Amino acid sequence: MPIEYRSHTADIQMVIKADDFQQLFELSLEGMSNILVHSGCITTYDEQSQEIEISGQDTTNLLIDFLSEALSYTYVNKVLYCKLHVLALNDRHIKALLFGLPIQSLDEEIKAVTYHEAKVEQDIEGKWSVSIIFDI
Amino acid sequence: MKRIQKSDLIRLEDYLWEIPASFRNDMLVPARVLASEALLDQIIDDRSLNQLVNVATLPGIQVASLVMPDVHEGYGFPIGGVAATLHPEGVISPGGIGYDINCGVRLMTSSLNIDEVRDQIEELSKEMYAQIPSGMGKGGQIILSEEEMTDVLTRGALWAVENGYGKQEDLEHIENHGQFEGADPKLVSEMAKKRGRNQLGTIGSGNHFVEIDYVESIYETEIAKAYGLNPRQLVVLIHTGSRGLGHQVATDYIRLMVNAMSKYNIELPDRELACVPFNSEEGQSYFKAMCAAANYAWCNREVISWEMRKAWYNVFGEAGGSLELLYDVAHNIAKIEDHKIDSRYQKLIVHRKGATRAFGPGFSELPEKLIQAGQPVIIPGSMGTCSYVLAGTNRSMEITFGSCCHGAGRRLSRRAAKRIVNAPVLKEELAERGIYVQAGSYKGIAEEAPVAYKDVNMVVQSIQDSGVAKMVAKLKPVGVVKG
Repeated sequence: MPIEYRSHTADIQMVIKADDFQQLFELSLEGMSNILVHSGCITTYDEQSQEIEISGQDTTNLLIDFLSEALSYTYVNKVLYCKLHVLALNDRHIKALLFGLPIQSLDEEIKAVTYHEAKVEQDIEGKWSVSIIFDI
Repeated sequence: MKRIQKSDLIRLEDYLWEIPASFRNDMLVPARVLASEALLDQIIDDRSLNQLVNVATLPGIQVASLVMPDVHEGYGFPIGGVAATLHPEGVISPGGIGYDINCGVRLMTSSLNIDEVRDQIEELSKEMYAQIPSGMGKGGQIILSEEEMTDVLTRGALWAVENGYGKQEDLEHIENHGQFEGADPKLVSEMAKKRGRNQLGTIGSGNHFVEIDYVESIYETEIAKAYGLNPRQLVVLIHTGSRGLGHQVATDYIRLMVNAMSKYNIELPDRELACVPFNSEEGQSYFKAMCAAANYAWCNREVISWEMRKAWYNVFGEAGGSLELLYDVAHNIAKIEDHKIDSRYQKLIVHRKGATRAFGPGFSELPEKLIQAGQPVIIPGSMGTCSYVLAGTNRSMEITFGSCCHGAGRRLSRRAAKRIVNAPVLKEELAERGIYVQAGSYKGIAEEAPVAYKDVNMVVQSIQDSGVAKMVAKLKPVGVVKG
């Protein structure tokens, strides 16, 4: 399973397995949005876009900060972001366009994307994984 | 990471346990647990004590890292924890306060008795649901202009009073009188302000609620009298915080501190504990932004009280009398307080994350008629069980930096609760027991079902037996609006 959810007292843990670094961001965004609106990312996504640019100390910080920013835009713009078009990406920087659909309500409110026990890792075959705990 | 075993703890007193600082070589102080043995046996089932040990590594931490009997595993810090660091060079850590800055509880007393109005409770619950916006990302009736937002962040509950959404006499019944003076709205991001613009007067989701209870038992007659509590009297509990604005402030500053820590040579076992010296530029910026978010939360609970008072009047009319604020406590906050360490008073930065201040008799911030009784401490249980009003004692100043628990403490994850609880059936069962629940979704009811929580009676009994607070009254719910 590329996106898996596990129980964690008072929170939700999401485990992502991706074929490449860019897909790690794509799946993480989709996985987070599917918590906010259950199965919310199953239709077309290109109605609303938002540019996002983040720099981080390392891959883990970069991914967590990227998701935090996307979450903030979800609340402020009332748009569920499901896809991204990457304009630039390396270990410490991402610039991308988020695409999503306007939403009226949420199934779950995520307070925050936490750094707790989050670690972006690449295995010997070049695949990427991360486990993220959301404060809900 | 090796999970902590019971054999790793030393029993200091009947209700106080210690993991010595020698347990791990990066601990600066011991880690202590306030709990009965039965509760400790539950606590060691999750990883909250490993997290408590991590807290004991924070630079400048004093005496011990502490958890209360309702502790459960969080992210970084455990929920139900207290960490006091030396002012001003010790660290401040946003994770030690939590994402919901100044989440807290208030209790309002009424002049009505449950037996007089039992038939109207269902109607009252529906009217509360109509008046008080609740649920995921839900906006309220007030849309703040830029200038009004600055005022709310600066003035807290006073803003609500000055703008017709609150009562002047409520203010002295709120911690810090509902206003942190050090707040600086300029240090709150535009994103946070945008998120808070339409959320004043809303309870949000998760475990937040507004609840009608009646006083089922009184344990301390004199204190109850000072608090204005009588047998079978109806009271109102409100539990919420600073909403999206507070979440964004915490997110912004944890991110800032994760990146700034290396500048101060701080290395920690978990990034979620990110911290900087209180007197650094980043530490000061966070503290002033946290104060602003705390002011928003106090204002929020005051505006919700105004909405609740409207619902009360709409159902009971003049005969319903007024709702008077007994007290409003914060349970996710950091405060600068004086505490005695080795017979000498020290200024400390006291982080409480899922812990309530519980100061004893003689505390001058309290209203005149409460000073001798000690600070009211409000402990909500889970929906359908019971809640408690306690009084802080001076014993709390000796062992917990003047703190006690904040609730029952979660024992099942929300997903696990949803799997085992049939929410429509639970709602019906509660109604048959005279507890009317209004919620935006059955999911919310399932997640907050009593089975998801520890036994609040055991938690409060531990607090009473340890001496850090006294049981004053037990409350039984009759009407609940869930977020």
